[in-house]
Amino acid sequence: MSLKITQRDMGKITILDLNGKITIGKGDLVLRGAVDDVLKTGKKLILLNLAKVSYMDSAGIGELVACYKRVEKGEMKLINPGGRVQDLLVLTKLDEYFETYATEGEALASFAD
Amino acid sequence: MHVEMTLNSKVELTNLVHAVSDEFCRLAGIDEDSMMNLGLALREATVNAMKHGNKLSEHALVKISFHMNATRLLVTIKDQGEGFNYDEDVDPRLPENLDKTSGRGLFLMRTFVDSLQFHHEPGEGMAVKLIKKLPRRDGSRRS
Repeated sequence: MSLKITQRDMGKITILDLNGKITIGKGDLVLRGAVDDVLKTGKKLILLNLAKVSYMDSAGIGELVACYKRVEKGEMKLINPGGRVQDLLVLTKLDEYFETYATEGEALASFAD
Repeated sequence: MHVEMTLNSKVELTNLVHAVSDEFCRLAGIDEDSMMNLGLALREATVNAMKHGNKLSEHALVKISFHMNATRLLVTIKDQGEGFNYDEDVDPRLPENLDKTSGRGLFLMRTFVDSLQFHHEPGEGMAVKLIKKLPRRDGSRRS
């Protein structure tokens, strides 16, 4: 299943709900496009909901990092990484790089006013 | 048990490699986590062959063979490229490397298989051999 993304707007914060696989050639490009579309609107606070991401490869991991770096004067945070995704983030020590929350409520509250 | 595949260098074809790997794992009684990890390692190796070995030239081929016996699954992935210096691989977990957007594929390969070997013959391309030890009949792991 390739990656599908739906967008929810919570005031200044955009939540991108990801569903599927973030892998080379498809999912990574879908993610890139979705984040770029948000940034083009001028919004800079982004939450990536990873609850329904079933699989990632190194290209998918790299795209998470690339998106984070592209949100230059904003913030991008992760919520709900599932078991496999969380394992990969820990393995690659990216759990120390990204700000990650278990719930949407906590993540929303974490953004500075 | 032996399977051979020859692929054009199109990254979407890595799904086939993953599917074959999954089937071998089921036959061997490998647990689901290890199966997914091996599948990921093979995807990474195949993408490396296509992207770095064959420069994503569609007509350049990647040859993949799966060979399973009682104790191990050996997968060989061979491209038609110039090879690379795998000794120069850097650790993506170092703080100075965390914000790099690439460079984790080799690390994942090394992490998820029991043995990883590289062999380059000038004019013959790079062959990467990945070995996964199979569980014993009683379910215990091999050392």
